[in-house]
Amino acid sequence: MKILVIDTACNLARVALTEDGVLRKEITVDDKRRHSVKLLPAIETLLADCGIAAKELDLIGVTKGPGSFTGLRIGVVTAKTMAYALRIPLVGVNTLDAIAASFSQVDEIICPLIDARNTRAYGAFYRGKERIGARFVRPVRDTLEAFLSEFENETMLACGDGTLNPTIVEILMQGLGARCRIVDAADHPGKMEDLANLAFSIYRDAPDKSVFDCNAIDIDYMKDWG
Amino acid sequence: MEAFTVTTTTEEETMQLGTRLGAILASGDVVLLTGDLGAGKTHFTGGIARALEIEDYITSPTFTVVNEYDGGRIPLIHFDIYRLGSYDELFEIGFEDYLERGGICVIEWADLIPEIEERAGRIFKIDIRRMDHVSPNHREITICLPEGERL
Repeated sequence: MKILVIDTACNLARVALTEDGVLRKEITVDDKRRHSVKLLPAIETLLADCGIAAKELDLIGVTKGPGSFTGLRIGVVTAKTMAYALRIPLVGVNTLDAIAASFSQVDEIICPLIDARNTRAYGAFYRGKERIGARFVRPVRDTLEAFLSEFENETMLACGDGTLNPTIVEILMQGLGARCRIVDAADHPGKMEDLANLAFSIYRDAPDKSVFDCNAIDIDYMKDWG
Repeated sequence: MEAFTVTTTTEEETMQLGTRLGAILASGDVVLLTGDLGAGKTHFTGGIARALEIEDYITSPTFTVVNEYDGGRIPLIHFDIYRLGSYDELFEIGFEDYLERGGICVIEWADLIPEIEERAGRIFKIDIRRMDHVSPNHREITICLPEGERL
């Protein structure tokens, strides 16, 4: 099974190809303002370098939110259009779930955090591969308090682009100290291979495959107003 | 936020007040610009643009909803949200991305969408009222600066 995955939710955009669960190649586009220009050429290069024609793809996975307003649109529209043209399933994956999937083997409670401005962040708690509770968007202090009350004696592994915000890191360190391990998103943005495998398992486990029709995908901005 | 009021007697004075404000604005600041129709909100914005060394002529964003000016010291993003009905509509034109861009956002008719004030960062409020009982050119301008700022 050949899977193309696209992630443009945050500043670092990535595309990757996996074959039977193993990463073949990954390309990153790190200039956020050029994502709209560079994404399709990156996909072309990716396929060409792997010696694979687009029509050989079996499935497309894409992060569908939360994240940047424009960034998500670029990725989702590109994924949707390709899935439409190629007549293959399209799996939208929540950005937080995608990040957490790369850390599912750790003992800590995984807390991916995506910056939502004004010291707020999108986030969720995971133990291994399971999400605990609902995904949220709120001030990081509230997330810290929730962690302290729900996970006595446990350690947090904070990941995602929220870790690039010094104010967010400071809040976590002040509140948790040694009980918080920060995985800097610049070093570990999450692995595309894990996104692809997550997309595949979502597809495989769904009883009704029609939900993966390209027209069924929706961006989930996790709006917290109105 | 402390408020104080200034009276201007010409368009140029209104613009100069905008320029004084523009001189203290920093990347990420949001200016909520309210007031009567035709009071001079766009002129005031032109004054801000001058302080930012933007050479373009500032025009009303009534129909475009947002105009972007990248040629100055700091990008200026000029909104007129009169035609938008909700924060949702504002979001759908990329408002939150604009806030993150590191420019200065000046929003005319900001009072029409209350969520803006809650969601923006550092806020400056400018309210411009006509004083037709005095003269057609007089304006009463009320200014609210964030903590620690002075004009």
